[in-house]
This record gives sequence, C-alpha cells and structure tokens, in this order.
Amino acid sequence: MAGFKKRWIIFFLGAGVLFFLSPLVLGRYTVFILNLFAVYALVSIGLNLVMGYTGQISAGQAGFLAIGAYSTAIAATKMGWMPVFVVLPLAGLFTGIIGFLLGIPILRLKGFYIAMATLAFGVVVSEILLQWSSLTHGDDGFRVPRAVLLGFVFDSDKKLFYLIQPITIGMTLMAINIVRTRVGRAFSAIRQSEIASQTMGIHLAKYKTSAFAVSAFYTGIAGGLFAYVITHISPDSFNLGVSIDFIAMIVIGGMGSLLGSIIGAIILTGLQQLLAGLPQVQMLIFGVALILFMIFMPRGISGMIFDWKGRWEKKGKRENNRG
Amino acid sequence: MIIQVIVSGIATGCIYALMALGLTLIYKSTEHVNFAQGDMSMISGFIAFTFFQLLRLPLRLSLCLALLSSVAIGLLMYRLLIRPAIKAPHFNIFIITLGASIVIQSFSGLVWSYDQFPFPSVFPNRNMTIGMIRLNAISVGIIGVTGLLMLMLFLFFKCTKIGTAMRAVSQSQRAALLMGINVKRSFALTWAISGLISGIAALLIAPVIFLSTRMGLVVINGFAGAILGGWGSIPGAVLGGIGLGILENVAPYYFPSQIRNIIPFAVLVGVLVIKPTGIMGEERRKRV
Amino acid sequence: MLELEQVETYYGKVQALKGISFRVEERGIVTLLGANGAGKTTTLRTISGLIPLSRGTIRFSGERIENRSPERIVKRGISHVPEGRDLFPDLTVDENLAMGAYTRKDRNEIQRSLKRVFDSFPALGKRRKQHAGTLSGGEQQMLAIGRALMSTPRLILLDEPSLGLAPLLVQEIFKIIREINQEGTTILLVEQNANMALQVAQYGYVLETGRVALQGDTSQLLQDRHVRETYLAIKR
Repeated sequence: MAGFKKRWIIFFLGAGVLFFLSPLVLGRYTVFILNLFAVYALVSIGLNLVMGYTGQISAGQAGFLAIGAYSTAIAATKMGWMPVFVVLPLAGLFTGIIGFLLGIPILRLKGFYIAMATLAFGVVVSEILLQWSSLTHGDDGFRVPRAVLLGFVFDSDKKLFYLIQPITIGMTLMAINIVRTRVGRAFSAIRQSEIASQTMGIHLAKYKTSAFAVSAFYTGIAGGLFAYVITHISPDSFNLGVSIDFIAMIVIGGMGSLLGSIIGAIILTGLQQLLAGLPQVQMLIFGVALILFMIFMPRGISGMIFDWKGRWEKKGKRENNRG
Repeated sequence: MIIQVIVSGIATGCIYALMALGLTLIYKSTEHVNFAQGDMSMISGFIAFTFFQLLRLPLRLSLCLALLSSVAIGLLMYRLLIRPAIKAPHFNIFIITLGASIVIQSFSGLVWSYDQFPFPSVFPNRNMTIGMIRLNAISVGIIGVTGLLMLMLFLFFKCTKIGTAMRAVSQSQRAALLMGINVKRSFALTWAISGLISGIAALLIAPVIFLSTRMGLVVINGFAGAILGGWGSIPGAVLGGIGLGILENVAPYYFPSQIRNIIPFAVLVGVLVIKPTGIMGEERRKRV
Repeated sequence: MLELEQVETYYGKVQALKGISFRVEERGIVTLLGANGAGKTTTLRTISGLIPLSRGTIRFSGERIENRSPERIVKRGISHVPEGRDLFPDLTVDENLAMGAYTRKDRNEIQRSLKRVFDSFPALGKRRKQHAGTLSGGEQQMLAIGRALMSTPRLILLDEPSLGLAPLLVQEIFKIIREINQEGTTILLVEQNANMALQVAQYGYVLETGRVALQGDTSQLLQDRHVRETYLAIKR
C-alpha cells in the first residue's frame, strides 16, 4: 500500500511542476481561462460550504463576489500603494463580515426563506452598486488597477497566473482541512438532519452562520481575483443569472465535495469558452443540465465518481477475500 | 390624486397576487416551491404574441389559445420535472424549478430575441371617470378580471367535489389516498390551474409593461407578496400581493424614485427578519 | 374473504413483515395484536395499498389485490381507518364524510349513507359545519369511522381506534364496531388494547417482530398464558 501512495505523490508533484511551468508554453488566452477557472473554483468551494455541507440554498452568491470585486477595486484605486497581499485579504474579510452579519438574522429561518433572502441580498447588492455611482461608477463600470506586490506589477495574464493559482491552491487546501475537522463533520451532520444534530449538541446557529461567513470570505477573495482577471467590472457581471450559474455549477459538479467544486468550475469555464458567442445557448444547456442532474444524479458528477469508486473497492475486497 | 395611485397600485398588486396565488397553490398541495412561475407566465405571453402578431390570428382566439397553452405548460412542467423527482427532498425540487426558469428564459430569448414588444390589451387604453376619480380602464380591467378569477377559484375549491378533494390532498396525502382520491392527478390539476393563473397574469400585464423575456422576474414580486401576506396562506397571498403593489406605487411619492426597484426585496428581507410568518401566516410545527 | 400469504414488506432496507399469513372470514371480526413495532400497522398499510409488498399475495374475495393502487382497493370495497385518525383538519365534518364517498357516484345512495352515519353518530350530526380539527378525540374517531363507512366497504381496516380515548369512549367505540359488524361489514382490527380487542373479535393473530407468533379463537387466546402475561398484563 505504501508504494501505491508514493506513486500518487510523485504524480501530483509532477503534475504540479508541469502546471506551474505551463504559462511559459501556453498562449495568453489559455492562461486567462486558467485564471478564470481558479476564480470559479474558489466560488464553487465557498458556495459548496453553504449549500453542499449545510444544505441551505444561497441564491445570492454573486452579491458576495461583487462585494469582493468592488472593494478590491476601490481599495486598490484609492490606496494604490497597498500590496495585493493586504488588499485581497481585507476585501475577503470585509465580505466575510457582511456574510456573517447577513447570516445572523437569516439562518434561523426555514430553508426556502433563506433561499429567498439570499436572492434578495444578491439583487440588492447589484442594485446598490448600480445606483451608488459616485463610488462605483455605476453602469459604466470600474477599471481595476493592477495588483502590486513589493514593486512587482502583475500586468499580464501570465504574471497574474502566478498570483492566482497559489492563492487558490492554498485556499483549497485550507478548505480540505476545514472539511476534515470536527467543524466539517458538524456541517455534514447539519445537512443530513438539523433536528438530529441539535439533539447531539451541535449548536446549529453558530455553525450555520460560520459556514456562511467562511463561504462569503472565500467568495470575496474570489471576487477580488476576479476583478484583477477581467480588469473591468460592472454591476451587470454580478446579476441573478450569475448566482444561478454558480448554483448550477456546484449541482452538476457535485454538492458537498471539494472534488465536485473543482469539476463544476471546470464545466462552467469550459462551457463559457466553448459557446463564447452564444450566451443564450450557454444558459439553455446549463439549465437543462441542472434539471437532468437534479432529477437523475442529484449528487452530481463527483457523486457518480464516488459511487464507482465504492463499487470498485467492494469488488476488490470481494476478490481479495476469495484469494 | 392619491386614490389614482392607490388604484393603479392595486392593479399592479393584482398581478403580484396572481403570481403569489399560483405559487401558494402549488406549495399548499405539495410543499414545493416553483421558481419558474414567472417564466411560465412570460412564455404564455409570447405564445399569445406568436398567434396574434406572427400568425395573424384574431386577438380573442390568440388569447384563448395562449391560455390553453398555459394550462398545457403547467401540466408539462409537472409531468416532466416534478413527477420524476416526486420523492426527492424539497431542496432538489426548488433547484429543478430554478433550472426550468433558466431553460424557459434562454429558450424564449433564442426564439423571440431579448427585445421588448408591445402587446395589445383586451381593455381599451382609456381613462374613465367614476365619481370624482379618474381611472385607467386597463387598471380597472385587471382588478376586475383578477376579482372574477378569485371568485371562480373560491367556488371551485369550496363547492365542487374535485376542488374539495384537492383541498383534502393538501391537508393529508395519505388520508386522501385512502379515500380513493388519485393524488397524482390532483397534483397535475394543481399545476394546470397554476399554469392557467400565470397565463392570465401575463395577458393582463403585458400590455402595460411590454412583453419581454425578462418578464419572468415578476415571480420575485410574487414571492415577496406571498411572504408578506404569510407564506402558505391563500388569502395571505392575495392580500400580500395587493399590499406590495400599493407599496410600490405609493413609495416613490415619498422617497427617491429609485426605491421602487428595491421595494420587493426590502419587503422580503424586512418581513423575514421581523415576522417571518407574515401577516396571516401560521407556524407549522414539524413532526419528527 | 381476505387472505394474506407469506407477505413480506420492507421499509427501505429494514424488513417489517417477514412472511405473514392470515385469513379474515366474511362477516367476522379478526384482531391483530402485538407490541409496538410488531408490524400490525404495516400489515394494514400493505393491504390498503399504501406500502408495496415485496413478496407474497393478498386475496380479497378471491381476487389478488397486492400492490394495487389505494384507489383501486377502495373501489374493491376495503376501507382503512389509519392510526391517529388522519382526518382532513381544515375540512368540515360534512366535507370529510363527502370525501369518504369520493369513489361513489350515486347521489341518492350517498345521501342515505350520510343519514346512516348521523344516525349512528348523533354527536357528529350536531357539528356538521365544524372543522374536523376542532372536534374532540372521541368525535374525531367517530368521524374517522363514519368517513370509512361512506364508501360502503365490505371490509374495514381499523388501526388502533382506542388510541388516546378515555375508557368510557373506548366502550362506546367498540359498541359501534360491534354494530357495524352486525350490519354485515367485516372488520380487521389492530389494537394495543388487547382486552377490548379480544372481547369484540372472534379470531385473533398475535404478531411479534413481523411474524405471526400465535393465533386462535379469541376465547382461547384469552386463556393463553403468554398472551395474558405479555398483552393483558395479568400475572399468573
């Protein structure tokens, strides 16, 4: 068994090295897509923390993305000397706090009400960004200054790659940790039965609110990175449709698992690029996929993979026992 | 002057009430939330438009065909989307209807484009004077039709065997089964009626706000109205919808006009934070 | 009239009925006894079509009815009064009774059934427009039985009619059960209150963890030591 594990580690190390060397050979556009994918992966992980693990519907994730994006953009503009490693976490923290404050009144309600309240939140954020033009330039959109770190300016997609990917990987590892610990298991229990978890002493409100806040934090950071990637943000990039896209992303990828989050992000990015000129067709396909998955494969693609893995392992055990 | 504002608020409110009613009917019978209610409405409007504008059929005929289509759409949604997943948790069904909403919207966008289209009204666009008040005939028409529809639905549910059976199903599916009631057919009928209501709503409002594929967003006003009135209560849905309409129309007179867009959301969040059960709502305790 | 043979039923992965066989003769009263979880309610639900069975057959007057829809089974003449009554709380007494007659089409006959119900349960007759949820426990049980009678069933499945009722009311209900039986309706009775059940029925089956453990004429069962100790709480 030990040799088996070692092979996987070498594989991942090799893949990692290749991955980090790739911008040297890939075109600018491809790198841009990889950056976008990383952003979506973070959003996906964040949304999964709320929907996949605690079973609540958050239909306003685009709102958090917007808050992260705009606070990063505004902070970077007004205080251009701040290194990105200060701006980004601040934006994330800010978004996380808003998430926490939003969570307190909302999360004690029934599931459907939470869906509606988060939906309202997302739209209100969009509307505020539109109306508060003195701060946000409203409809015209906001030009995002380049990220800076110790004098180094990330002024190209390839340079941005080396900022975004490590952050994403780091935060993904952090998420894996969160999920494995007691906290993560509490989240799982809550999703399966709120009533049962209460009797086991899990303080419902505290965990749900912290899941919400952490999710907002992740999405806030993703928003900041998003702003850097697309360099020009406007309220229209953060509308209700985007929130629903995010939900579709984690449903198809698989709720409640980090693998599912990654798969969902791959699919969203891929679909967007494949059908770049036809947004309606994109949405149509996405919507149909969402329905089909929810009816036939509610655990998403990652759910399917885990099922196969389970069956494969059982078969292996049976053969072992026979031998 | 204020009365005029209130009356047109009531008219808008009637549309919200119809949306809320469609949502509540489905929720009461199956505890499902239909996010696609507004889009069902929107596509019925476009179907009428297709018959009338593109196929040149007479207006009345087009409207009747559109209403028939709206019933069919309701049934189709039930058969294709809900029945296969009938045993799934409500979370899943909500997401399925979310998906349906996206599909209907993008499909309509592809077929009819995202432009806005003028839509003819059954009622003349004229102002009338009743006593000291000047009212628009369209508003009066909307209120009248909604009132009539509500009355018919009330009579249907109260006095007919099928209507009573549908009420029975919403109170206890198991007991209804034991009475020999075909519960699946009752669900289908609920969706059919809901579809019809949303179709009527489209035909009433399209002349006022112009037909567009974004019309489906009115479902959010429907949700806000239903939550305001008390989610799960039929009189609450009607009251809340009308109340929301009045609020939306009156507020711009006292607050900056941009507030109009945020009102349904402010109401939503406000009600949920202050009194989640709304005006007429009752707390339902969960049995374990 | 009713015959179950080797019926097996599952709740998900748990097997609730492990091969139940019994018979109910026409015009008789048969009772199913047993502790909570023994499978009594599951048996009734399987008969009325609420739960599918995975093995075995159920015959009603010779016709196989297993895994038929509840609608068909009601039409065949079996009426199930579930445990806890399961009335329609926001419908009136009248409306509840009307729902009982849902599968019937003959207006005049339905009116006659209605009158018979009010004759048997005069208390209901005084509360026709009241919502079922506001009735007292005894009135609710009467309404539940009356509702079941509205479909003019040949066989009534009664699940724990004495549940939650004061002893005086329990006597009342069982008197009515006897009357219904005397007028020609067969009854399959599930009861926790073994004493009353054994007095009103002619034949009994004792279920334990999904199987028939004991059966016999109720006069015999009343004398059986195991029954006396376990279900009648009579020591020695």
